[in-house]
Amino acid sequence: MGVAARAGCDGVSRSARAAAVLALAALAGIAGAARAHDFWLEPSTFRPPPGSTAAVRLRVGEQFLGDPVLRSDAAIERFVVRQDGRETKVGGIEGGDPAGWFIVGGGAAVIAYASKPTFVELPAPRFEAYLRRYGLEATIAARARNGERNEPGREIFSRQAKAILAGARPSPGASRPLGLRYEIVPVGDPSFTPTAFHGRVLYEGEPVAGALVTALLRGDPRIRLTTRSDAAGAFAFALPRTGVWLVESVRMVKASFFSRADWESLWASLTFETVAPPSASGKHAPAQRPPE
Amino acid sequence: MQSSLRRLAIRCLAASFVLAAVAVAPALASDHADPVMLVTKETNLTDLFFFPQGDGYVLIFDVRRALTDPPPYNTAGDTFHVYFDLHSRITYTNAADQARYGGTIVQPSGVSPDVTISVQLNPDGSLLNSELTGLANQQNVRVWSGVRDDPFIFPPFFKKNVLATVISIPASSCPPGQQDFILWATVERNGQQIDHVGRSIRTQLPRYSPLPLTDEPNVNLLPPNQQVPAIMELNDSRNRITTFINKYTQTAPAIPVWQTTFQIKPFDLTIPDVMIFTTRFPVGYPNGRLLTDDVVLKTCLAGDCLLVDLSTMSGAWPRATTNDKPFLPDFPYLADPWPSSPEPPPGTKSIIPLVIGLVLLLFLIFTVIPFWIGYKWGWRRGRAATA
Repeated sequence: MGVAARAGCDGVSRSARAAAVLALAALAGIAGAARAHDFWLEPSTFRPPPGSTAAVRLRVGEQFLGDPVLRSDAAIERFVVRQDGRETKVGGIEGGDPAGWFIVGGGAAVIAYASKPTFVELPAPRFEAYLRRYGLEATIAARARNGERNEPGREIFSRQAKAILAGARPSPGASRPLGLRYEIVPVGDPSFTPTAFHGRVLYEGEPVAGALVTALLRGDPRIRLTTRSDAAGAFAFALPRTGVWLVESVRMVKASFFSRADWESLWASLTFETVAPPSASGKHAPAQRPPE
Repeated sequence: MQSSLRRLAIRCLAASFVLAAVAVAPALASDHADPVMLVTKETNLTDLFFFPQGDGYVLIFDVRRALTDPPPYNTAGDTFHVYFDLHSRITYTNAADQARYGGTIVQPSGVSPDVTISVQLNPDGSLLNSELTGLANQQNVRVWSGVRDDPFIFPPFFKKNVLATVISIPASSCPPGQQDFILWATVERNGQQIDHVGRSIRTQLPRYSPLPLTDEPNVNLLPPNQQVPAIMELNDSRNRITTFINKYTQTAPAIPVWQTTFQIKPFDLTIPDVMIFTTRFPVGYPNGRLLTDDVVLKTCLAGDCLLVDLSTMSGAWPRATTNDKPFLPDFPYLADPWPSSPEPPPGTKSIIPLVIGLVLLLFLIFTVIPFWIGYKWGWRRGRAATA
């Protein structure tokens, strides 16, 4: 989804042109990084002790390897944490990484981040390639039906990211929707189910059928699980290993009549950590982490 | 025209910053002093030191900055407390926290005193009374108070004294095997907390003081277990102002001043204003604090350079990195006091008469003078009509 930068440089000196190209390339790199890839939340720990301060980082990248996204209040639609049955804003410092901080309550904490929509225009082949990659064949078909297949893809996109921080024991709060427009909602508390992940995808509160859902394990790019949601929006993964998981899905809908874009994409993600079940001593074994 | 308007806007903004700075002036006015409302100079905690010495620990705290006056001092009703938390878990894996604070307190909301040392002073600065709770073998704890040289390594406080309290605590007074300590000190006047000190040069920084005309919390008056939520609240308030400043072309030039003076920094948000000391690592700020620690430089290296700036205001070179008097090798460790001399009257005066004068002038300009002109005009018209 990166944007190709083109600059008309007639009449500009060679060095100025080179500088301009470099600057544009840098800008395109930054913009591309912000637009092109997956987006997720990385808390300072997935198992914080109650009363501690947890930091939340925003990350954008590929294969669960991310670059920092600095906090920008102008870009935030909603940035909250729900814990102990209460929802509070996640505060932070403008331009800061970590982007947010909150004091951990007594049980599981679910953090939700929704960004404001951003416009992007992509050449037709790149737009279609990205639609294909994220399982959005219905959009490809719709563009073909409307004779738009060779038209550039004009879309607005927004991030709908969540992270679950485990409490001392499984919490029903972890599986409660937070009302994001496109949301991955686990069934049960995934922090305590190390061998499988069951979830649902919801668009504006309603189940989405046929959505492509991907699961990635931090630190091991070989593991990339994919599945499609069923008619009830439900999907499941058998998790081969414990560790920090990223589950993600993209939803593409027609943009509103008044938008300058034709399409609107919603990028949902959920991060959580699984650990091995308690041993006989009652202690959880640490997550299996591959060497970094 | 546009540029003059811009200049005017920038000047107005600068003036508002100056006003804000004036409003928090007591926090800025001294370097190692931070009560926002300084009730008396004697209620002003300046330094807190803690380091191992022999088979035990030495704790020193100072009050009454820039002292040259002879006694008596206004110490009636003041009680100084030093608190030790010996139970909170501290980790040492976060390099940034360790460089700034000496470690990471896992659960700031759980910080509470296990040991309390309370001290009251006589009007001459000597020890009136001390009370210890939570320490074993109290008969071996030594408490001394009196006038000493100000140990703070900062030129404006050279050749000045403080009211110092030095406490020697045998290791046997602490729980066996105790490795980690969290310390802070407060002062109360007639039961009301007035000041707090923990890590050197922290809550005295202007960004921790509540801005005037806001309902921001005063971190300096809160116990450590309430400080992190308060700093987060402070941050929310400052973020709103940051957003405003960032929004407009005319206010944007103020961003650097705002950011370096009043905006909360990310590392403020995790740890309350306390001192951490552990026997796991060599002593020296921020792992406890030695008398010889150049905390002005060390805090600058960790992100807060206000006092480096202030210490270079005189233009002297090089910046002083040691105290102006050598410390003593033995108890009470602080150097002998400088001879007393009457303190000069304060170089500043209240702005309130000026404000009242301006208000009266505006009142005259906008009410009395128009009324008088109108009255005279009407009177003349009336006379002309009669004629």
